Amino acid sequence: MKNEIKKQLLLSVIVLCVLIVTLFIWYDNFIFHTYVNTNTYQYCFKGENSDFQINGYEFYQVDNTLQTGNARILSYQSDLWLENDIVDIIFYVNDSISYEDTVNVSYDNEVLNTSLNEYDDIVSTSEFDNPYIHLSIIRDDKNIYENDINMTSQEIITLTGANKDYTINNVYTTSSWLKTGDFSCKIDHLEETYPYMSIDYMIANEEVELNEYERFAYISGDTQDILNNNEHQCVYDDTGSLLDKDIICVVTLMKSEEDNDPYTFTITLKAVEAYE
Amino acid sequence: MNKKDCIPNYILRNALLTFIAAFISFMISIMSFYQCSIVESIQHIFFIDIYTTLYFLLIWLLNYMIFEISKIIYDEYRQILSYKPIILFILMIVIIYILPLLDLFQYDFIILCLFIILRIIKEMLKKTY
Repeated sequence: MKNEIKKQLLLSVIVLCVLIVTLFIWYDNFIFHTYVNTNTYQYCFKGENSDFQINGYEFYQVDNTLQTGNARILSYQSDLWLENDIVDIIFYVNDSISYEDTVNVSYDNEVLNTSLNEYDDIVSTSEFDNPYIHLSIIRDDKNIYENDINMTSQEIITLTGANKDYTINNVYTTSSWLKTGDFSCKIDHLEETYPYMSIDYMIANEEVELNEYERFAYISGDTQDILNNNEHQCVYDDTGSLLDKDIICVVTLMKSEEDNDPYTFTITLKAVEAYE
Repeated sequence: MNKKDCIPNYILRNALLTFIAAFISFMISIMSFYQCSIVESIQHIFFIDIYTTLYFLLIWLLNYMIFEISKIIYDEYRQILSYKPIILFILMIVIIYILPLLDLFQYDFIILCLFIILRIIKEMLKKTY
């Protein structure tokens, strides 16, 4: 073997060894950031007429169950529903599949929130056929209002963000609705070092000043609960401009509930993919 | 054209081949994990997370070095080795397929081995004609 080729081979082998060691060291980091669990089954429906608006009606999958509901109902007319009324909401996926929910009105013109219910059967995408909601208001056992409202599936953007050790993913947003995401970290036993934490979803407020953010959603509680992804929140932006704005998350990790020196960092969220 | 003039072409060809191996394996692995389209998998590789992009570049470089080393060794011992490395690489493909590796590495090394086999066949044909 010629000397020149020997040198070339030796250099190549050294570079190869360095590469293998680097790949080995970075492997955990790569897996943590690349193969992030995502929830691909997520739908959000919205509908309105001259009397009321329903937004954030969700269909999503958790393991093999379907979770549905969790919508906000706003009345456009004053005194449409009053204290002690019962509002009955039936979501018709198609002519044969429907989900019913009732809400007791606590005070006049209340902003109503439907409950989140769990079902065994997942509704496939093709089954949504002109979905609509039948809403009726019952007062003193009499039906005083009934109306059908067409529900349209909103364009959902999935947001995700990460730094070296922490990720926030499965943040879903439409133009007027945002569902907070799942927090994960690759540090073992984070909950032992920092038992409490909070995540602030900050949105760019261009009206105030460039790079000025305001708090939009807030998750706070035990680190273990947040790591188990039990804490989600849905928030609404009635200006309908959520998709055009930058969203950052401020994560605060605390050693006690009143930690004066918490560990704080920011994660910028970026759009991943869109579902219709 | 003498051999030195061909060097940039060789480098480009090897870089392209090894890029294809890394790219296809990342694409298949991400598509099967996220059940997403080709465009979305490309987005995942290059635009979502810097750690994924850097790892992709490192895998590409690793492929390039393995391809280069195989080329140097085969060219040097062509007379003695002849077709034997092909058997070795086919055996390696089987072993990689059986080993419980991350699917990304399996796809990558299998595609890389196939490219190396193709190059050896090309060199053998060149010698014959």
